[in-house]
Amino acid sequence: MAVTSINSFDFKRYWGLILQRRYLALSVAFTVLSLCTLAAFILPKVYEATSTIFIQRSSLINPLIKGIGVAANADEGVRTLKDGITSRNIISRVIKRLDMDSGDTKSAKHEGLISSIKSKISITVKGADRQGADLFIISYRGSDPKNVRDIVNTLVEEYIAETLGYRRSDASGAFDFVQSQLAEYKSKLEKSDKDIRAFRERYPDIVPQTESAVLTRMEAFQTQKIDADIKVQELMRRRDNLKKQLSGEKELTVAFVTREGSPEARLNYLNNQLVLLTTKYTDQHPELRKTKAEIQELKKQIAHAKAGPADAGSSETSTLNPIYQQLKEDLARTDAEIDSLRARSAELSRQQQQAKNVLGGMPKEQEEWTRLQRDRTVYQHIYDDLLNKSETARVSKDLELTDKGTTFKVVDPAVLPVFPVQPDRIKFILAGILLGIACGVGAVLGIDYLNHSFKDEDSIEESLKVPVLVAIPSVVVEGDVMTMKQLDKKVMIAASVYLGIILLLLVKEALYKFVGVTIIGF
Amino acid sequence: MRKSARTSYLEPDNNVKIKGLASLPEFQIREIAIDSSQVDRHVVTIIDPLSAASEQYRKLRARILAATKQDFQNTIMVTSADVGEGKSITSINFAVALAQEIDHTVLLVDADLRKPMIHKYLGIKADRGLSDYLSGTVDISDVLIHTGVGKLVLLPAGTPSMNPAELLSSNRMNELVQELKYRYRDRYIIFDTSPVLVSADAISMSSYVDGVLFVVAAAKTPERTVKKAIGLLQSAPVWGVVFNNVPDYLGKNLHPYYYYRYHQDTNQPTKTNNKDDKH
Repeated sequence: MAVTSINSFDFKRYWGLILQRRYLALSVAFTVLSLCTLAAFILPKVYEATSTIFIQRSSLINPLIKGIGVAANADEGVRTLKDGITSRNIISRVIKRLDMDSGDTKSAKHEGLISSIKSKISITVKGADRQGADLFIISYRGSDPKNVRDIVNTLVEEYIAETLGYRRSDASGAFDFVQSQLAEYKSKLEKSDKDIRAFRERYPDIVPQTESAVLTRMEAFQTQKIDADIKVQELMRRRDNLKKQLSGEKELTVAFVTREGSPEARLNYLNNQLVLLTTKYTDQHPELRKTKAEIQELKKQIAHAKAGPADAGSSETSTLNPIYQQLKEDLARTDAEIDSLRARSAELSRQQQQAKNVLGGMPKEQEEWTRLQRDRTVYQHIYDDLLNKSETARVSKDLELTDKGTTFKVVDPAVLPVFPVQPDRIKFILAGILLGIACGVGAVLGIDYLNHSFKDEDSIEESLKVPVLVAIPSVVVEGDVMTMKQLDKKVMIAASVYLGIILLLLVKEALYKFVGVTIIGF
Repeated sequence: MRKSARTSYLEPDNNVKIKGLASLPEFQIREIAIDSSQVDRHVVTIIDPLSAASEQYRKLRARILAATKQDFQNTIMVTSADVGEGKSITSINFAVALAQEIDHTVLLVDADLRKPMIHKYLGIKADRGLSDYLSGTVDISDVLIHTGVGKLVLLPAGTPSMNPAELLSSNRMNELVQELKYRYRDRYIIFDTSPVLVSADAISMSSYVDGVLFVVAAAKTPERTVKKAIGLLQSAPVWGVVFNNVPDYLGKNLHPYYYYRYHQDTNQPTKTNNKDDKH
């Protein structure tokens, strides 16, 4: 390839190239610098006015009223600030206040003015901190510094006025509405209560019934009646049994009365005692002898007693038979129970019939009852709800009236802008210098890149397939050098003077902007 | 080399055909000593023989001598693709460098009849020259000039001609070249012709000569143009390229102790060994 290889950056080469084509580089650089400088001075000036609003959402009250009052929704207000401040309404009012057009709000000119202003407003939010405070920076750009300032200030004023006014009227409006609704529902509720009372008086029996309840009750009556009937049957069987038993028993019975310590019992005891004693003692033992004697005595007594049966020693007594009595009592009780159950069964039948009657007569009254009940429930519900809301609305209203919600504060009102934001002459000139250098160098390198001539021997040999016998360096002729040096000198002086003028402009702008000193009057 | 060659600029030959070349004794040739103050500053071999550029011309001389040593090829054409590449300056410097070599007589012919420059660069006033000889108005001896620089004889272009192509392709021109070439075999004849792409002169001249030196100015002529010019010289033996006017920033190969790298595949002077190229 004969084309210069720019792959490896050869500083010496490019520097040489730039020196070689220094006039080209210089003219390009100065042209760019001149254009930038010219632009900096002839482009229309744009001024910017900025106002800072501080929006404080009360950090103490908000958490307290969160969920209670509607003012806790200040976040939303902050979010919509951007939309609010650029709203047609506010801009329109600003235009009117500043008397910016003929006052015909329907003309195309007016619309154009609104969108023009809207497009020039910019709003930035600075740090939504945890204290609930936000800084809003509202800026506006335009060609007339005074106008720019006035627009920003009026915008801010209008916005704050509108936001606060809206919030207040909103809060009291809500309260009033809730109050009126509350009164209305209260009267409705009262009327409903009265109707129910009247209905109850008219249909005392039907009152609390619904069809299904009546059916359930009828079923319950049926079940209870069946139970009662079954029980009656059982009891009647029992009564028959009792009667049968009663017929087999005597009313009176004979009771034997034995005196305590009868000779037979004593004899029995002593016989046992004798057996025990015999095992322990000999027949001669006094205890044994005594026992034997007593046994003998007792045997005599017993024999004697048997001989004379009507002896006063024992007696037979005629008395009431307790079993008979018991049975008789049971019978009586059973009879009573049967009677009772029969009565109950009859009652249940009656009630069942009554329920049946109720069911038959239901639709009309029941419908009315249901409606009354439903209305009352609904009114009650709404009334409770309204009561709640009424309290909320009251708190909100109080909050707004005492201004304890979101606070707007204009931290920095817009002031008359002194320096235009555009064109930034300093930036333009500095950019012109940098861009000029870049373009100058770029032009030289670009031309070199586009110059497809031979720049080294290897490329010649590669391209032409002919050996390079020798490379002759540029012969710098003394006279030419002198001429060139003189020309260089002239060019450098001219360039320096020109650059000096531009730097002077730069210094002038910097002094004007940062120190406020005017050294040249333009 | 014969000793007599040192004292005679144009040595007579028995077979001389051209009147003046054979019959005129050497002292009858015009001698116009070059006044170095009048010489163009680019003729560094005269102005500043110790300069790096002069050294490069000596290097070129060495390479050509080495290449032509065995089979004596003494007619060399110097041309370029386009104007302003430094072909005339190269011709002069190369001729001077050759002439400064003690054994060589050099005849520098300004065959660029369209824009003759050599006499101007050398600061010589030459009204008559090659065109006049080819027109038949003068003898060759009338137009040859001994320059006083070594054994350098100049044949200037002469009166500006209306039909240089015809003159250069004439029989007379052919005869002259043949005569110069074969009559004085220890002499180098260097033709400076017009650029290849400017006229057909160089192309027609190329058939007379033994070799062509092609001058390419650095960072000037587009590669495509050079290629085209070389292509037009297809039949001519292009010995090599003189890469001219290499600026400092491109001069990576101009180191004093640079060893030149040859292309072994070419059949041109590079076939010789490299010892002469070490400077």
